[in-house]
Amino acid sequence: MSGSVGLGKEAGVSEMGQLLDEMIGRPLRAFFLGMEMFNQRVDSTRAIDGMFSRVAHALSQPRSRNDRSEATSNLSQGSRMNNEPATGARINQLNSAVFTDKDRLLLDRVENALADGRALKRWWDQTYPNGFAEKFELERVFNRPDSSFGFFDQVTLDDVVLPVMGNFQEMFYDQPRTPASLNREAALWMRDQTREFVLRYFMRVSAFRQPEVYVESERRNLPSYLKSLSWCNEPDILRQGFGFTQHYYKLRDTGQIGKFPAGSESAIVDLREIGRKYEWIVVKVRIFDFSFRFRPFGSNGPELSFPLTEESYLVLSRDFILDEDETSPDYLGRYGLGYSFIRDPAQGLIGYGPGQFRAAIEIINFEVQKSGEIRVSMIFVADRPERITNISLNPVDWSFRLADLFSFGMASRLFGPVRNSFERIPTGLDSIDPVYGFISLVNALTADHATRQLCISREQLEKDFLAQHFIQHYATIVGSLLTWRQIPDWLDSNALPEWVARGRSS
Amino acid sequence: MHRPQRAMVDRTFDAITLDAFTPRGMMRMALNVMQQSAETFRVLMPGQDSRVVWQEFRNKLQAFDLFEHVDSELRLPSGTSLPLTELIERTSALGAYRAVWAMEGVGHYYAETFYSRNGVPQNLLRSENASALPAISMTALHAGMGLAFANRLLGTVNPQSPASEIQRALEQFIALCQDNSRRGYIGATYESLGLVARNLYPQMVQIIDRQLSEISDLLVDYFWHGVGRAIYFAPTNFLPFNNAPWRGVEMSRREPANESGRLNALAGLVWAAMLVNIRQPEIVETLLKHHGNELIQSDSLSNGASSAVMIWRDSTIDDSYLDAFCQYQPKSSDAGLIDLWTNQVLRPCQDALQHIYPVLKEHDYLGETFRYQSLPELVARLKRESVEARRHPVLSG
Repeated sequence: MSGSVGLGKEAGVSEMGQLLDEMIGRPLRAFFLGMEMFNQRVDSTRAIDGMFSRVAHALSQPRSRNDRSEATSNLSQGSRMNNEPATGARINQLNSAVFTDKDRLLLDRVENALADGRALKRWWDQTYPNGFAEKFELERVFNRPDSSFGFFDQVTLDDVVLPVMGNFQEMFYDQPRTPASLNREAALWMRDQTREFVLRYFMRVSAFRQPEVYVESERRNLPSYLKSLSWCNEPDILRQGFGFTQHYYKLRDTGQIGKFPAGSESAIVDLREIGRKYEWIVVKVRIFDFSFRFRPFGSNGPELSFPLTEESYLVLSRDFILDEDETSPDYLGRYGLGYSFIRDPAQGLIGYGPGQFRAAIEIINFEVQKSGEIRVSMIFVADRPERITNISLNPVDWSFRLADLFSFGMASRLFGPVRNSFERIPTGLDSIDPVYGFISLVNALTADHATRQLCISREQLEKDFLAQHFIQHYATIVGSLLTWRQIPDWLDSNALPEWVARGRSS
Repeated sequence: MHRPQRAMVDRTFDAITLDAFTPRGMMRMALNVMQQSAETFRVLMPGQDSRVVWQEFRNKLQAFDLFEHVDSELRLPSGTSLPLTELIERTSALGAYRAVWAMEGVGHYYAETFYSRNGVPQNLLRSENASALPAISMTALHAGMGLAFANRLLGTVNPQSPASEIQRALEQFIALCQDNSRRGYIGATYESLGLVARNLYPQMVQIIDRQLSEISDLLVDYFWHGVGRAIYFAPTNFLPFNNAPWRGVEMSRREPANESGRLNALAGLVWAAMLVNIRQPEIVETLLKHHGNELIQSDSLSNGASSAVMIWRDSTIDDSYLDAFCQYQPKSSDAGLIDLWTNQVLRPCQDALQHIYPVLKEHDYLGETFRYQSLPELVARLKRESVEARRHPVLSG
């Protein structure tokens, strides 16, 4: 080993590149490294220590050592999240003529999402009802026989310790109204009806339209400049609940992966076929009226509303389907469905929520008791958010695009060599989360009093999210009750309205 | 050259090379201005405590400045390289106090530069060339090298990384320490992990603690000792408004999850406070005045103080600061404080220098001072083993 340091690569870097790196790249690196601390789950004192230490170190370290960004750029990307595609895991049964690139990207993630979902379900089965690290009241429903709670905990998924949160809610659904002498018969009838409704039709009819104002169809369309002055009612569709459509399947016997034919997307397969005919199916859920509200200056201040991704792909396998007849003396039957969320390959503005979970499951189980009373329980488990929003921060790209715009592309050509210097700015830090950034900042400035006295904390946002989730599911179940009651006999498939059979409920 | 003249020459030199106008140059200038301001406040502020905290603030700034800007301090020409021996020679010319902090910066600079240009280092401080390096540079060089390794490897993982990936990064760190440290100094390299983790990657501290405990409890001790040192240098504890009382004491008790971690963190905090302020024993006296009762609940105070003086003895030729420290008598008339100083600082330090340091040095065990443990017991064990070895040379060989 030589006792001195070699010169090698340094000679190749242009002086101008070095100067620009020193004047612009270094402060930007320092800024991004410091800002990154606000996205970390540490108390405010350590966040401030981390931020200032990083900034001071990045601004002070000798020039030859600036390539540390290569190491720190892995901060946000160093590991494979379980719901990410596994290398080499591309499904070889895909027919290239049928599947688009988007399909493949999604299908690459199915098996990992399923594995995570199974692990989360196993964890839930072992932990419920009293094993949670932190359990708290979530919602109260006045004069309704319902119960619920939220929780925070950790789950180990494929070697990664994942902080999770979730909620459990149980509610009354329906009961037979029959004379006491007919109770047993009515209860059995309810069981058979529930089984069919839950396993065959629930996913087809779980989206509803709210009452809408009647609009005369013969009225002429107004020009746009007059529309804002018009008092005439406009068609306004208000949807609630979940709208499921099926897209992909994997056959159990052959392992073949296919796409459901166009036109049959809404007629979700009978869930009893999953495990017999299908290994899994992938469905897309549209979640209506689901937004996340952020009021940085209190309940009377301005509000930022982040409409959470309304669409998310889910995978259903036999692990999540419940189909049990009288396996316990306490009930006549238990039927249910569940799914694991698949992370959307595309990253949008919203960094958390349906489509952005690293791992999440939802389980909806109906239980028919001996009396014929039906109760519904819903379980939701998801990773705790690392961030709520992704505001892109790539000033290098912005600057070059702007410069190219005004120089007809000359900027990139002239300054191409020095651009490499800027590429060393940590790429993993190219976005910030103003929501969590605000929380960290305000707690840092108030020595955590904001958390203690004003509930300005990540935990509070997470509880708000869970509460929103609770209400969404509560509304979906209550909404489905009208549909359930509307059909006199769910087993008489010939008598079912077409909108039920085809899954066009909204 | 007198210091004001030298500063003038430095600024002229910087202006000529335009370094003063780079963000790094401006950062350094800001640090210098802050040091000057701290000195002004120290002179002007009424009250012993106020003067002490401003002096301590200045000392911390100076230590940080010397570590981070060691290339400027040593006037290393940009883009060129110098042998490690010359770097050390230049550092030694800075004077005893400044040389210790700059030497740690040299260790960091050298390891990081080598890593950047040549890849994973081997035998960095244990090769034949390195064997000619002066012994007084070894502790600080190892500590600085450990900081570079820790910073490299912690940058590759995050709290969401699989446990196996974090474990692998830690094992790489351990392997790098073993492959590059000289016998007897590896503890100084290990301990740096705690400092880097606490101040640059605080989100990783608890995870590293868990993972290290699966590898070795000794490593966990070094780690928390480093965390204690980091707490002393943490930005929230940097400003004088937060000192006297020192919040770092409470943080060192709060952050570790168990008693062993707390003892190590407290020892690390005291260790850093002693070394940074060895020229002004009254700062340590003020620390005792405010936190003596908390610190004497264990022997972490005496352990940190003893270890610090031994490291100072090993890192300097000029012992004038150490002599002055060991002869210092508290200015306070508080009998309790005088008693505390005598029993928890003075005697342990004298004992360490007279009885412990020579044994540790002889057995190449100085790296052991980078974690909390009973030093008299360690010495007794080493002596016992030495006797055994003399009796049964074949067995021990």
